[in-house]
Amino acid sequence: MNRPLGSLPVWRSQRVFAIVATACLGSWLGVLGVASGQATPASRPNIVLMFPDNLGWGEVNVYGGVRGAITPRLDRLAAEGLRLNNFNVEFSCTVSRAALMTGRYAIRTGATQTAGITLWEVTIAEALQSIGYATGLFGKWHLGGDHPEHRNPSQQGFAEYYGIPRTSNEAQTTIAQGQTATKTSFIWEGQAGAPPRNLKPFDLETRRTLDREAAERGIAFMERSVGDKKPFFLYYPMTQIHFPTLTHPDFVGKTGAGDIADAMAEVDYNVGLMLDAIDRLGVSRTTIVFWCADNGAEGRRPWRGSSGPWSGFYNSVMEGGIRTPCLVRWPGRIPAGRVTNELVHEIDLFPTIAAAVGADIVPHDRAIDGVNQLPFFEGKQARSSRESVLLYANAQLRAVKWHDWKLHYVYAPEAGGPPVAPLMRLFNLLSDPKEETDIKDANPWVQSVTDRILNEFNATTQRFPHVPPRTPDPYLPPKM
Amino acid sequence: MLRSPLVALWLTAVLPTTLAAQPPADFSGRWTLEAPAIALTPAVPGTPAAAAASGDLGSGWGSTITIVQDSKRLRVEYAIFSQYDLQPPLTFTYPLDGSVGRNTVMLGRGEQVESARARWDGQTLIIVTTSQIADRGVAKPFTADSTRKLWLESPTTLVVEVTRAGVLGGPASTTRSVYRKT
Repeated sequence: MNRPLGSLPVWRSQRVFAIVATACLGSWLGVLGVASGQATPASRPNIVLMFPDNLGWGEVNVYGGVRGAITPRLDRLAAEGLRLNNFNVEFSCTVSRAALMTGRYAIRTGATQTAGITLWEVTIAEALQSIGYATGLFGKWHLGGDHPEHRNPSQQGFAEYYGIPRTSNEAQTTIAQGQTATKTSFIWEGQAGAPPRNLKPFDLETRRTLDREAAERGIAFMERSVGDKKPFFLYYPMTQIHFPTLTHPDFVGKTGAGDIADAMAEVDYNVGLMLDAIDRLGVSRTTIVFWCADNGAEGRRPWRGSSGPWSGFYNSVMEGGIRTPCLVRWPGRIPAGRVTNELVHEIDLFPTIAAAVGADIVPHDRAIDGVNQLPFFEGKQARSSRESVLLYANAQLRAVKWHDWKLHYVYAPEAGGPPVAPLMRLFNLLSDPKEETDIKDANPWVQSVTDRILNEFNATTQRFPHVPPRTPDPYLPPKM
Repeated sequence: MLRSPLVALWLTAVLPTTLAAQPPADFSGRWTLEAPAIALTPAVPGTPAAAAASGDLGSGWGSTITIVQDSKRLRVEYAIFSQYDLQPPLTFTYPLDGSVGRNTVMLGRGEQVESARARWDGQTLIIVTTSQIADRGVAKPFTADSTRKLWLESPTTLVVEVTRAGVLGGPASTTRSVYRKT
């Protein structure tokens, strides 16, 4: 069972408090942080989190890409760091971003596309901002629902932001989610203490240039932060390769392999811009770089992506919907060139980042499902800190992964499609990566294990009830 | 108070003998699972996404099974692979003389062997199956037990109830499957 950090027993909370108090004192003395291996405020690493959209496993060369060798920068990033082969995410865009930002399974947050998440949620950005980080978002938000101006990134810890409030398909209709009129979709920007400002229409023309502009603004943000001698958290939620998969003019026809391949070449190029900037600024060894996707492959034609060896697409909990590429680089701390099939989930990034910056910034007043993976990433721990993954489709539990096993409680292989009988199916993802041969008859014992995991999760909801979907702000949890 | 010594004699001596002499239930035949309908409800109110009640593990024998039974054994057979796979159906044989039977299945994870012992409880056949489990996710091998009860609710209705013991700190579970003779 993964240990939820936010629901530590009292003795453990006290011990954590004692450790934190000691570390703070040590930091103040300017000694202990170094002696204990903990980061001091001045030496805290920068965090760069790049998060492309609807990018399937089969799009990246180092993951066995199907469209040719079009991702050299990502391949090099993999060689310089850790490649996760069993990185798990939520099945769809908004819920994935909710989980990533909060360290909580999205079902706990009540996240929906139309409403986003409440301002009560504490994001990685808020946590890092609280210890002096410069924070910036450049790209796609999609956590503010139909009225993102009231749930905008600056209210969730991003001191500045630029990009789109919602999602990329609005470029085709120019109708903002929740609206009916055309030309209501905009690219926006904003900063803390000020309302968002619509900059220009979001349409098929501006869709093409958005990721490049976001990268350039992100680089300017890093330059300012380094100049200010402030550690920074740069969140670059790229809009490629979500449909409409139309690239920057520089990449139209670049690969000769179609729109998705062109878009991947653009993703690779923009990643390269970021990495080059990190090098140029001299902060490579003090910057942790994460590159991972929000959910599985785009499934909508004509821009259907590749799930690589997995079955299914996003909006399903088949492996093709919830297992994505993930690369992590921290020179000098995370060994280069390592590849692992151990379970990791996007919710682990928050506690892992907290550990990396050496600060107790993960909330304690709510259930946190993420676990600290830093010792595993650094090679100090052989196995992942995680044994299982819960897979929800909105409010419904669909499946549980435990080590190499995956038990579907409700088997619904097609994105948006109905469940298919028999509903409960068991697969071993090593012997049957495509989830084709149901072997529950020969291995029924697995259900006992996954039931236990579910029971333990459900027990936490007694103390920490889920935030109901579409809860207005201000939200306060019920007193238990 | 019994009215007649003859009735008392019949109840104490003849009836048990008659019951004991009753032949055991015969489960032979081809049976098809009466699958519960998948009730769809919105996963999130107001959205079109459909949700369904969770499934269950069923009988552990598939949805269409063929049973061949004689006085010495009960054999259950069902297909799991397609014709293209060129694989025989899975076959499980259970001795009915109280001895332990062993069954082996090959589902791409080596030869998985289970041992089973069957006994009658009236007209109900009880089969206790034990499997040795060695899994990458667990430090030490362990055993997993399940108990199947088979009975006929009618000549054309077979009930298979399976209780799987909990393992690794997890709970036990019981499912009941109803098959119709086809």
